[in-house]
Amino acid sequence: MKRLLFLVLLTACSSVPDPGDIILQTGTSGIDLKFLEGFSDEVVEGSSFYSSIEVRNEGFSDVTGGVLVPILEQDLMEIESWQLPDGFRLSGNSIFFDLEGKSLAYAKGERQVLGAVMKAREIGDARTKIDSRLAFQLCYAYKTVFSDTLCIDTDPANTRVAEKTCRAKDLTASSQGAPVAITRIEQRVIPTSEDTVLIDFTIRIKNKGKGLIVDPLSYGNICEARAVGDPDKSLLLTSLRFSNYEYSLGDPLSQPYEDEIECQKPRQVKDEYIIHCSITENNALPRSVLTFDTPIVVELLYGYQETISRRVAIVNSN
Amino acid sequence: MTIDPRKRLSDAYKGRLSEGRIKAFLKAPYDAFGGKAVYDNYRDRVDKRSQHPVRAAAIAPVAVAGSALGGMAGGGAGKVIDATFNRSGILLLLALLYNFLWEVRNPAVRFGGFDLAYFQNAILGQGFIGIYNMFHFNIFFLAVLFAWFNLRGGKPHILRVWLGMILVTYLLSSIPVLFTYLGTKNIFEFFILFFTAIYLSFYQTSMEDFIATIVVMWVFYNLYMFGAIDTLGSRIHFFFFILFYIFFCMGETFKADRVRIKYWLLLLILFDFFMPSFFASAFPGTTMANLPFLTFGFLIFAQVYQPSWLTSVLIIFFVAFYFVSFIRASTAFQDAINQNLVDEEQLQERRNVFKLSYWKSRYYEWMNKSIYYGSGQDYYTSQVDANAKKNLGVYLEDIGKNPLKYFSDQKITLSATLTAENFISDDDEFSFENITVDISCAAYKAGEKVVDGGIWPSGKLIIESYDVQNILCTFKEGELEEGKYEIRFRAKFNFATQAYLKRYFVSKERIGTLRKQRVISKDLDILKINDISDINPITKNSVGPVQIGVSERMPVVIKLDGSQDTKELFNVEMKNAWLGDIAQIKDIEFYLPEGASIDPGTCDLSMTESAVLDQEFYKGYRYFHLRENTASVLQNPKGMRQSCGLLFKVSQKDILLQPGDVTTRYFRMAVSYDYVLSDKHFINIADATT
Repeated sequence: MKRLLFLVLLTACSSVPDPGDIILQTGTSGIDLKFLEGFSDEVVEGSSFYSSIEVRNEGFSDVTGGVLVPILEQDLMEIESWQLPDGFRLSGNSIFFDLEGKSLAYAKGERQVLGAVMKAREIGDARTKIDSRLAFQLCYAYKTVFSDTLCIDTDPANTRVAEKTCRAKDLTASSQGAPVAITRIEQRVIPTSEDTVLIDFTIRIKNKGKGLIVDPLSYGNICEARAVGDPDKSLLLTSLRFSNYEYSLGDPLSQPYEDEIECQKPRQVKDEYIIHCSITENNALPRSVLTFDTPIVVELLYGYQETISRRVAIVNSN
Repeated sequence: MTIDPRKRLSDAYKGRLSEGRIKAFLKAPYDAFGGKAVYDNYRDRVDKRSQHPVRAAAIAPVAVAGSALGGMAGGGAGKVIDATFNRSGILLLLALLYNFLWEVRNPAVRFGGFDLAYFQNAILGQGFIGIYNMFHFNIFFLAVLFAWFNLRGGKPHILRVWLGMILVTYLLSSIPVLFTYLGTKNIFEFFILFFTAIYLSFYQTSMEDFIATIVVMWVFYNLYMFGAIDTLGSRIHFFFFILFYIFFCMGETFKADRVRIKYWLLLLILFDFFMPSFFASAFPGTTMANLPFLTFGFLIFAQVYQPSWLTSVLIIFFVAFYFVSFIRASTAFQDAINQNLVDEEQLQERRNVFKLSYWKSRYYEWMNKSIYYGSGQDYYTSQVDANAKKNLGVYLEDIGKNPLKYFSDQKITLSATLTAENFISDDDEFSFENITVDISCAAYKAGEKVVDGGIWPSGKLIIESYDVQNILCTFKEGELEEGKYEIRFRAKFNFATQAYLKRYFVSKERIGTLRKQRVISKDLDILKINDISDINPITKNSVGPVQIGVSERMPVVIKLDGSQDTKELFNVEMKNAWLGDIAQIKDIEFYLPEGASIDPGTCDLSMTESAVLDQEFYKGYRYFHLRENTASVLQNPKGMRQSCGLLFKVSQKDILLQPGDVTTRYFRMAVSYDYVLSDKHFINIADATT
């Protein structure tokens, strides 16, 4: 009887989650690319075969102008035609597309399937088959948005009598619904004079996805092997806001790094990127300001590149 | 006072020296061999012999001769060495001299064991009776029965022995069934039985010792019947073992160990006469077949019976040398067993042992590839494509199935099966060159050609795609006189080998960016981040007698510079992969992906560009091949190398680099050549009148 009662209580506790409870800004995926099953790994030389891939934006940001490039061993295969969904555009060898990120309407992100009809070329008369590789490379620009509540403590030495409303601490997170994640924001209070202090931030960032961070301004050309990109501009801090302080990258080509907060360029240390930001001396906080909570929002922009591949064996027709 | 060591030895054996002086002599070998047991054993025996003038005198010359090697082992001339070591030392010295000096310098004394095809065919094809007769089991069983009959009561009675002898000779031989299987069939077998009777009458022996002796005699007899004294080389081996028998199996010296030593002798004979052919066939291309069997076998015996630092070092040396050689070889077992003589290449291998330059090159070869590059040498890699068509080429088979024995008054016909498979093109407008096979056969005696045989079908065989043809080689009646002959089949044909090599092209600037981002630490890492698992592609060949390899100097990831032309070395090796000979290299062809070309003037042998064939297979390639006047000079090469510089022009970069970080392209190569395949069969021509 007791067991039955326990089960009833347990069942009563479970319910369908409220849409408002769904956490969208989580995970370390951006655009997920995968081959759909159901196609033979062996094709006969001279014959056509079909391969389809699924593209899904599993991250939080929308993608505009993503580039998908087929990579074939051109001595062994060639593309004959594409079957593209609405909104996907073929230009040269590349396919351009837009994909919405996760939202209440697309809880798992927007998904599209595209297909390619390919032809296996002749492999010569000396062998029965040859292994080849069919790959797709995806490049897109993506955003990581970090938001939390920051406690600003202008009196870290506790010299004042007033009670503090919050305790300053480092902010940590594991993901923000993007392949690149801000994992930690550290703050230090640096006295500059008897009346003012500066807040210094160290933002730690990690690439938690499977791909590479590439220049967000030339990711398309990188994918098409027309440019290599600037490694120093692969990861950009586009915005840092808290209280009434703001750093905005704006147009990265014309007005870099200004406003109330100064930020250095991202610095790569092992597998981590580190950005140092600090309130400018002109905008130093008065010590008279009591400890307070404030929302903090950090935005990153970067290009992202991922490759998937599968083996295709081409068999001699003789 | 200095005493002539030979005189001292001689004096010692003759018992002229005092006990004290003998003991003084004995201190040296004690130090040299470092073993009290050896010393004591030696002392006991020498002490006894020094009191036995006849036996001491008998072994004195042996001891003196052996002291040469003993001096080497003991570290000083004149040291008295154990008699056992003297005897084994002499034989070891003889074996070393024979294998490494005489045999190498005098091809007439080469001997590479018996050809096993004779035995293989007999065992596989002639049944129990054939084997029984071939190995002369009649005399073996007769002698064993004779011994058992006489030894069962302890020492045989002399009257019983000789009565038994008469019984066998006259009564047994007159009963047809027993004569067939148990009688003596010739004068030699009669002598074996006669020797058995003498042995039983005058020597004190045991059943075990006597059986071992019978087996040894039977093996000697068989060796003789198999032709062990037909050639100078085999004669030397044969008499070496007779010497072994005299040294170790006769007299009183090794009486206690005699049975074991006789079985050791059998093992050594088996090793020396039968293993060379086995290794040559089982591990073709390795130096296993080149093992100096006589030296090596005797070293093992010497190490067991009289271990010394010399035998240990020599064994370690031989084992290490041949083991490493074996590891390096890649070819697997083969079915055909038809090697016989030590060929010139194998002799060269032995000669090389004495050359410092050889060991130097071996050292470099065994070191890692970075030392290769550092020493300016290339390391060529290639393999037959696992997916290659298996039977391309020309094959001579079934020669070993021919009979082994013929008569001088009959027409002799041997057959073989020739299988040929050519490349087949899908393209109706294109066909590969037909294979033209020119077949011949000839009889050889003692390495010298005696007469050409007639071949059917006569003329050249033309094979367009695939053919299996029965080939007959005929010698007219009386053309081959009585004796042993080697019948060689020879097939000369034209063929081609195709190969391809996968390489990855990347932008040098892209590599630089990724390095700066610390995404990669070396060029090859770009393959991993692009989900490419084949990070060490090597040249893959079609099946054929000539294989193409490309130097590992050519990087797997070729970085194309956006600001200046890129150059890479393209060193290609054509090597003989079958057991035949390359008669002529007719052409070398390179198909380079568009965007790549041969740097003018960089090739060892001049190449020229021609229009690529209008076939889909060659779409996207440029075609380079040997100039006509160059191709004609490549006669009878053991193998050859062609080194060219590859040029990737900046202006062509976009042609090579496709979308994505990494572009995969294939370099295709082909070599066309004439090749000579040969196979042999040993036959015995008997006199028709006997």
